Amino acid sequence: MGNQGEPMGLAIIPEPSIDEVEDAGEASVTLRLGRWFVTLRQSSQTFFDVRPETAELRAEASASKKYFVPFGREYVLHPGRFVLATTLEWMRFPATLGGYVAGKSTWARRGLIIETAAGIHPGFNGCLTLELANVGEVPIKIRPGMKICQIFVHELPKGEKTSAGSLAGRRRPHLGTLKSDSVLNKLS
Amino acid sequence: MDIEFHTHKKLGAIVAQIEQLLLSDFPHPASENALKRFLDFFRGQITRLESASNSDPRIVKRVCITVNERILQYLPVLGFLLRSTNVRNNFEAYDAFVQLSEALIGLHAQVVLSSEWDYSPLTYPMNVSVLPNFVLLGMPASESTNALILPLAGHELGHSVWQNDQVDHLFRANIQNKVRDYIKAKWHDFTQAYQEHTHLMPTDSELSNNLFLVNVIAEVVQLCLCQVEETFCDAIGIRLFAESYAHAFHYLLAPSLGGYGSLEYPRLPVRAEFIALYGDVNLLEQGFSNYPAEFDDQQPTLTPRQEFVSSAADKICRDLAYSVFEEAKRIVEDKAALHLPSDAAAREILEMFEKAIPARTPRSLADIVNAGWAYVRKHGSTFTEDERPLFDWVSELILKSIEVLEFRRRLEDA
Repeated sequence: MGNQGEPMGLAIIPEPSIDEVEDAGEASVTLRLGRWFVTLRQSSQTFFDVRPETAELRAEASASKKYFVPFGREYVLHPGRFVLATTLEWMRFPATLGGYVAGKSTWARRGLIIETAAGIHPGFNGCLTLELANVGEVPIKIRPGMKICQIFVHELPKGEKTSAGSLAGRRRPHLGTLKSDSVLNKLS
Repeated sequence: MDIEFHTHKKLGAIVAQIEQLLLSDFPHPASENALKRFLDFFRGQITRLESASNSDPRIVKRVCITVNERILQYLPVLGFLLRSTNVRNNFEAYDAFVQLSEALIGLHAQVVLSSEWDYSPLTYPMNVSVLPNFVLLGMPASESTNALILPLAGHELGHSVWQNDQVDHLFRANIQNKVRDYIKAKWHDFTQAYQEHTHLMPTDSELSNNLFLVNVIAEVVQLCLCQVEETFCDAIGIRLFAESYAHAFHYLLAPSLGGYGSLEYPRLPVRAEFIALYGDVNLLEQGFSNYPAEFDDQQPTLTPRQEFVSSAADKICRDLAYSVFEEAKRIVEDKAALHLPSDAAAREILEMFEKAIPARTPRSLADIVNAGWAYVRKHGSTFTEDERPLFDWVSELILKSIEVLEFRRRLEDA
């Protein structure tokens, strides 16, 4: 996996147990939950608008609230609630690899949705932001360090360009900023 | 209304404030434990005031003064504890400092990592009698996301080591002798400074028995001990973190903070000189051709007496600086050998930082921060800050690496 920091390899830090990955016989690598969480401030954010030019988008700091949960403690996600989290692992994808992040079936069956913007582009580096939502009917305790999601990696044999994007290179969940959509602007 | 009534009200207000603070979300239990100690302390003051109520009015007045003093003294500490909940703090570093504190001070150490609204992290009052086992580590609030200055917490740890190991006992007798020798050697200066005492003679007998001379000696000894303690704390910082302590010290304090430095500290260029002379760090390799010359603070205008006392303390502190650094080295190597930096480890981490990934198998906090400073030195001048500031990016890599350090430690300890 190139965890020695090889420029052409996929780096995952802290590195998963290679034995565990091989023994599982799965086509994915399981990742763990990080310690930072971000919730949206409902009281101060009236709405999000998909058009950034007209949006009442506030700075991330005022639109969201950060929480740090140490190892050994828990975060309770109540039914209907949504929180941004991250993987504990920091990853760096080379230009020749892309990937997808998906939930774990055990959690999905209890109502915990992990991720909806699942693509990981070549060149991504940083901790993956997870969009956790409890669509079940029972509160779920989540704990930093627990197995939370899995990534599937695919090869881009001729990969040369990378698209790290503005969401890369971060250890904490990040709302990001909306990009201007020229087509949408013309239609409006 | 009378003073006793007002004191009751003030105690009730501070107890209510602490109870309110206890409702905060504390990421680590030490802050909460500290608040509970303050709560017990001030509830105890209420009981004390009540029991003194029918006593001599002078006793009641004394109790009221003590209450005012304690509120004045501890209110900033309560603010410090509250700010330990601020998510701008480098929470990832908490466990690393707990490990360092437990190694240096013992398993009873309770660490609070917070931020201060005073700029200098080197002046935090450590003598909080209500919190005897607590290590209070505070960075200036504006720098609380900057992981590159974490080594300055080594100075704060030094204060706790100084108290815990009673390091002052090692130096006190030597300082007392040196003060007496100084006064004898500088008797002319003494008589200039204390012109109404020119009838005295610097004999051993007078230096031991004359009440005035005994007081002057005690004053100089106390100032020397303060300067030696601060020197010891710098020594602990540089021993624990090596070059990153020198860089962080320089970043935060050079060329000076303006105004006049406290007499209880050696002057800033002198502290830098001690770091350069006795810190065992090749500062030339770190880009400093003359480290002490980077610092320049102003000497306050002193009265002749202050000048005499200050000069004595400066001279004696300088005489002792080498042995103070050696004592810090002995303590750190004896108690915290596993946490000490290694050039090879820092180079390995730097290579990973250059590939935009955190440390895979970090061994110590010092190695990580040293790699961070090495990255800044090597790439700072060419780093494009269009997308994000350099220190922000380096701090991200440092803090994730520190988290990996904790992750691996927990797995190994389990």
